[in-house]
Amino acid sequence: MSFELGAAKLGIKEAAVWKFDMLVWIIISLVSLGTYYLLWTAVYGFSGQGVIAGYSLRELITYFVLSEIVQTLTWTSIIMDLSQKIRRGTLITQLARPINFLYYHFWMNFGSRGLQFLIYCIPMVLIGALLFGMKFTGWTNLALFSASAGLAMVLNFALSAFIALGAFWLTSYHGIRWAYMGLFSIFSGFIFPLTFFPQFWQKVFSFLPFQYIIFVPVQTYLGKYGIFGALGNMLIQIVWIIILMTAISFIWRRAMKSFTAPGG
Amino acid sequence: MLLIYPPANNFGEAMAIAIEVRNLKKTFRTHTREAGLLEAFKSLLFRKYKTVTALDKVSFKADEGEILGLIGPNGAGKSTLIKAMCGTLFPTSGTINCLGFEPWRQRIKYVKNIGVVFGPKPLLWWDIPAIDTFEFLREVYEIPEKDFKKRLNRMIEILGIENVTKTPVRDLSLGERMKCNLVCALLHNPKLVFLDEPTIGVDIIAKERIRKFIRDLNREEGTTFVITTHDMSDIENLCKRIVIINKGAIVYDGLLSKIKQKYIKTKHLNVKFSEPHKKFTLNGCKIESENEYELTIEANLKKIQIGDVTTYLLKNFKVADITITDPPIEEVIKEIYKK
Repeated sequence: MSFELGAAKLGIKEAAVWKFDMLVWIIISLVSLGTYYLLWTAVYGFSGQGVIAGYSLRELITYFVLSEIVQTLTWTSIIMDLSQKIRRGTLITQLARPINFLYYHFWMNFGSRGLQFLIYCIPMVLIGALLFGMKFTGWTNLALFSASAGLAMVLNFALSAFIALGAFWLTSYHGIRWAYMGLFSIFSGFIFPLTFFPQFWQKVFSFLPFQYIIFVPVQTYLGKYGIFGALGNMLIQIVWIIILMTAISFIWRRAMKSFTAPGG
Repeated sequence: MLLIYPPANNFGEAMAIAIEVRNLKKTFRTHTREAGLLEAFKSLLFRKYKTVTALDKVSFKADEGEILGLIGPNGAGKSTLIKAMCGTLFPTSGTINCLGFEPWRQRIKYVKNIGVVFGPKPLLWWDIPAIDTFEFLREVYEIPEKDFKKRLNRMIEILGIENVTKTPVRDLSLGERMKCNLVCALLHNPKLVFLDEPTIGVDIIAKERIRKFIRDLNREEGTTFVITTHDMSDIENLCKRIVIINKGAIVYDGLLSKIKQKYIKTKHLNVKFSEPHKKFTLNGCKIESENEYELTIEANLKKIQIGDVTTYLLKNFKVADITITDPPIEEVIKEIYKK
C-alpha cells in the first residue's frame, strides 16, 4: 500500500498549496446553499404543496447539501490533466516510470479529495444542519450512503478517465471537457433530483452511468431505496466500474501505439 | 543447439550489450497549414496531412558501462529515438532490445531499470517542493530508506541544491529544475540512463559538477549513459563514442577522437585587446570580424597549430582575453552530411 499512500500524500500536498482557493470555494458553496434555500422556499410557498416530485422542502435541502458533498468527493482532474499532458507531450515523463498512470492518478486524486472533504464538507454539513434544517436519516442510511459514495468515487474516476482517453486522438480537448461537465451536472442529478424529469427520461438515465455517481448515493441517504434496493444499486455501480475499466485498458493500449509525445 | 556468446572486448572478458537497436523506423502524421487567418479557417475544413519520417533504418549498439553521445541538429530525431528506447513510443517497424527487454512491450518491468531526463520537461510535481517528488519516487521504485538517504544527500551535495529542494518547483529557475530532474532520473540507481539535454539552462560550475557526477557513477556502478546535447563540451568531457543522426538517419557512429581528426579542421579564436590593436596577419589564419579592441580569427589546423597562434598573439599584442572554440556541432554534421 505504500505506493498508494505515497500518491495520496502527493495529492494532499498539492491540494494544500491553494489556501485562498479553498476559502473561496467554501464561501461560494455556502452562498449557493443559501440561494438554493431561498429559491426552493419560495417555490414551495407559491405552490402551496408540501411535497414536490416526492420531496419535502427539508429533503430537497438535504439533497442539495449531499449532492455538493458527493460531487466534492467524486470530482477528479483526470480529464484536464491527461489532455494537457498529452497535448504538451509531458505524459512521457510519467510513462518512463514504472507506474500505471491512471492508477497513480486515482490515488493522488483520492488524497486531494480527502483533504477537500475535511475542509469543505464539514462546514457545509454543520451550516446545512443548523441553519437550513438538513435531515439526519439514521445510521443505516449513513452507512449505505458512505459505501455508495465510495463506489461513486471509483465510478466517476473510471468514467472521467474513459472520456479523457479521447484526448489521445483530439489535440484540443477543452470543448469536450466543457460539454461533458455540462451534461454530467444534469444527467448525474447534481443540479436537481432526476425525479423532476418525465418518466421516459428517468428510464433513459437509469441505463447510463451518470446517475450512479451523485443521484443514487444521495437518494440512498434519503432512504428512498431501502436496504436491498441500495445494495442492488451498488451492484450496478460495480458492474459499470468493471465495464469502464475493461474499455479503458483496451483503449489505453491502442492509444500507446499511436502516442508520439510531441515537442522535444 | 547453438549458443551465441556476446562479443568479447579487448580485455578478453565478455561485454554485455545494454542497447541494441535494429532497423528502427518511425513515421507519424501531422497536419500543416500556411500562415494567416484565412488559412487557419481553411484548415478547419480541409486539413492537409503529411507523413513525417522521424527515424529511418536506425541501427546501433551500446555496451554496458558505456557513455554514448547522441548528437544531431534540431529535429534530427534524437528525442524520438530516446523516447523509443524508453518504452514510451511504439516504432513503426524495427526492433529494440534494452537490458534484455523490448521497451514498449514490457514497459513497466523495463523502466524500473532505467532513468530518464527529457530535456526541460518537468519530472517534478509543479506546485510542491522537489523533496516531495523524491519521497514519492522512493515509493515508486521501492528504494530502501537507507540507500535513498545516502544517494539523495550525495546528489544534493554535489549539485549544491540543499535549499532548492525545499522550494516549490514553480519558483525554481530552469537550471535548478534541471538539477532536480537529474536527481529524479538517478535516485533509484538505474542501470541504464537516458539524458536528453541534461545541461540545458545549467551554469558552468554546475555543468562541471554534473559531468563529474556522471563520470563517477559510470565508473563506480558501471551505469550506462546515453546523452544527447547541443553542448560539444558535454560530449567531449563525457563520451568516447558518438552517434550522429541527421534527418532521422545515422550519419556517423564511432569514436569521438576520430571524428575530430577527420572533420574539425578549423578552430575559432576570439581575442580581446587591452588597447587598440595593430594589424594582424598570420599564415593559416583568416580574419572573420574585427574592431579596435576585438578580433575573431578562424585558424586552419592543417596549416597552423592553435598553440602557435596564441603564442604569436601573446608575443605581439596586448591581449586581454582569448576564447578558443570548435566549430559548432551542426557544422561538423554538415561536413559529414556533404559526403
